[in-house]
Amino acid sequence: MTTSSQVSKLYQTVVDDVINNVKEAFLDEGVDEQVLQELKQLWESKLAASKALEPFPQEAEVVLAPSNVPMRMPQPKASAGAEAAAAAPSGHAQKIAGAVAQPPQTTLQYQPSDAAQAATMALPAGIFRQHLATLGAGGQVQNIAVQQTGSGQYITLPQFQTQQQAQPVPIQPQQPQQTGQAVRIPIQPQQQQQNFLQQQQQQQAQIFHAGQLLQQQLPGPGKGAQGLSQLDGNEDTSSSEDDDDFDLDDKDDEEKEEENEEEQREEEDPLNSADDVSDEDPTELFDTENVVVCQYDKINRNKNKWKFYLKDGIMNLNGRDFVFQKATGDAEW
Amino acid sequence: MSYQLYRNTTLGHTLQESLDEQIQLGQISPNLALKVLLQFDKAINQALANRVKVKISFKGKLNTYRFCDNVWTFVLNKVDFREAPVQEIVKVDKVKIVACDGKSM
Repeated sequence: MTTSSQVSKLYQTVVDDVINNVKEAFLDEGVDEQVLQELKQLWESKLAASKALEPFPQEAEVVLAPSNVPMRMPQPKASAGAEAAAAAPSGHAQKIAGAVAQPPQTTLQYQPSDAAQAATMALPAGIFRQHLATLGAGGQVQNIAVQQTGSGQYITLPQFQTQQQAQPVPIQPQQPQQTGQAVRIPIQPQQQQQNFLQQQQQQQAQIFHAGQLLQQQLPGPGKGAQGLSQLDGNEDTSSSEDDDDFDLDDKDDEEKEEENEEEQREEEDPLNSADDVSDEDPTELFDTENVVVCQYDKINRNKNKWKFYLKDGIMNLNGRDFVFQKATGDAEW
Repeated sequence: MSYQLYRNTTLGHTLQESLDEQIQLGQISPNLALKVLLQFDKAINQALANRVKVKISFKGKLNTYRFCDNVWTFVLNKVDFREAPVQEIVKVDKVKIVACDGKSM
């Protein structure tokens, strides 16, 4: 067994070896040998504090703070397992919440939870009421009541609306008010200003908006209401799009809401996938507590079966150090 | 010339932390610290090559492999490490193996 006492002895020889062999270098630089002894003490105390050399419970012939031993064993295992299995999904949720939640910081505080939930599942009624309350402040309570009966998922639309409502007035002049389609495009840059994380997604979303605009045009001319809403939009800075939606009848509302929902998905999905590929994989994948540092004699692969022939290794597994002269391993990819 | 990869171990980390502290305190120069680290590289390479006789086997699932600049990096999941022939050492859910070429030295 690679008992901790063996590893300790090995480490001690290395410590002594290093300290003895740098004496001259210290003298050459005119550094007092006392400093060298301090270095040795520092090193040894840090080694002891690392607990990497403490024995396992069953081999507790060396009595080293036994209470620490059972504590440490399960912890790394659990955390390592949790990281491997659960970190990715929870990371998604956080990123969604974080990214979508940024605009709310400038507008309304309850939105983070809305965004997070909208990304995963249907929204509770309580959140609807919150939206109703805020949107009611904009004088649009009736229209939103229609949305509520339509389907619970339409909450994404109110979110858009609330963001827009909270946006400053001066942006309005940028918006060409002639058609409902045009209103949407200026909104995107505004959101980009608010939320750097969503920039790329917003740009992608614009493409989708363009597609939607064409769709909207078809039903659009039939409704006289659109023209009215656009007039309203000119005066009322932020809610021009809202008016547009609300002035249409229920069916159109539903359609548009569905479109809006799609927008949101389009915005959020690329966010997730991009994060997975670019950020999480390199960092999380290679970030683990258990590390083996060694040299390879041979690495063989036959289809998905790998064989490892390693030597001169130092392993830190579950917080303990082990060493080996040779190690052979099998793994399937 | 010895491999520097063993600096990335408990023994190497603790030494580097100690040296950092002494540099901070102005007790030693960064140049002297570097000399200590080079001596550490030599010592740990020698110690592993000459003083360790343990043989180990392991089995697991290969999650990721990477070969860059003659260094293999593997990430394995659900790995059993055993001291040959059968004695069990430890199981881990995830382990990273970093391996330099053993022949070039």
